Amino acid sequence: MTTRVELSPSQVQRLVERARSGDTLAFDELVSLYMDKIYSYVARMVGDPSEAEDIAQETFVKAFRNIKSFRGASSFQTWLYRIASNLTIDAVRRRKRRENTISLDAPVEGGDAGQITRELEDVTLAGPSGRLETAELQRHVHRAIQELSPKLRAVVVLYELQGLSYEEIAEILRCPLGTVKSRLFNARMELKEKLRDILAESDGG
Amino acid sequence: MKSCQRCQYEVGTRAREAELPAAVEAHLASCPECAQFARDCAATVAALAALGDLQAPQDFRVTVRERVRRDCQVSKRLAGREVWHMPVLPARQAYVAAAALAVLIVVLGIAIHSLMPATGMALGPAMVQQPAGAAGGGHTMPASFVQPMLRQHQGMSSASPWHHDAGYYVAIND
Repeated sequence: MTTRVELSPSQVQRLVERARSGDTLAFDELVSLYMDKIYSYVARMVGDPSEAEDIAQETFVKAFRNIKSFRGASSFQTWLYRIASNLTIDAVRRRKRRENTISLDAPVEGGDAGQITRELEDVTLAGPSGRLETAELQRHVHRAIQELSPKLRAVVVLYELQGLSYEEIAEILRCPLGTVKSRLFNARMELKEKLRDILAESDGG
Repeated sequence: MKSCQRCQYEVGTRAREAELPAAVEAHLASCPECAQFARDCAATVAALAALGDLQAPQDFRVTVRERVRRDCQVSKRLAGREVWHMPVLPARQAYVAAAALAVLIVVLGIAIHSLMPATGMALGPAMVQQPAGAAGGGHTMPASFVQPMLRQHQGMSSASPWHHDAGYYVAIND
């Protein structure tokens, strides 16, 4: 596990200025600073590690390409999240169109082993866990998040998992504060229903 | 019921580490249903928080660096030469342009067609022009159609109004 050095807003601003003038080393520092946050957000949104890696990388490439258009009206982090969010929502929509023809829960042919069940969640997305039951709960939570609509999923991931404020989320998703709150409410209600059984089980056990 | 809805919305949209309004706290203390709702919400939020952060793969930074470097090289190559793009019209303008082009073609076609008799472009050895004084004068007609009539006419009168010259039958009197 690597530890990232937190930089002050003015230090980040200086790195952004250098990157704007074409300094790839400064941009490399910015990548190092934000790559875990962006990757984590994208991975929670798309649910597939390799697709998440590709989208997160594309986020930074796109950011570098367009860094001259970044005027600093919002923070650099907010701007990065906005790029990632747009790319992610596009990817989720594309996948949804593909899934209309292939059911992800449908069994698929597995050669000599016969039929295997298609697993949606990857263990690497369950996060660090010490106990089996924790990993099981995390898988359920991860699956419940994946079942939310992209709009609700984006808000719940940004707020509950990425720790952003309502104001930051409103800026990233370009929607009013009230919309962020109502989406968060709806997402929490859906998740509460989906996780009712597993939470009651883990509470009782 | 209204106060339960209000209470549950306040609990469900509760911001991180924010205090609930005193009226909501008082309602929770007196309403078992809303109190259970608040506990379920808290458990859900805790389960989400337990997911933890994910880390980008080890080679993430190197791959981004490589992709950015490739992107820079492509940009420099493109900047080194002038790139021409076809203008892309919005759909509405494209329809208007297509309609204008069609009208222009039709108008040009009519104009060219109306000019053709004046320039004599369509006259050839196989066509004859009627005398201007005759019925339908000034028009052309096939020689194969005219010749039998001429022979019959020449048999009746030696003063033929038609003269054959180099394959053309032209009127020799007004």
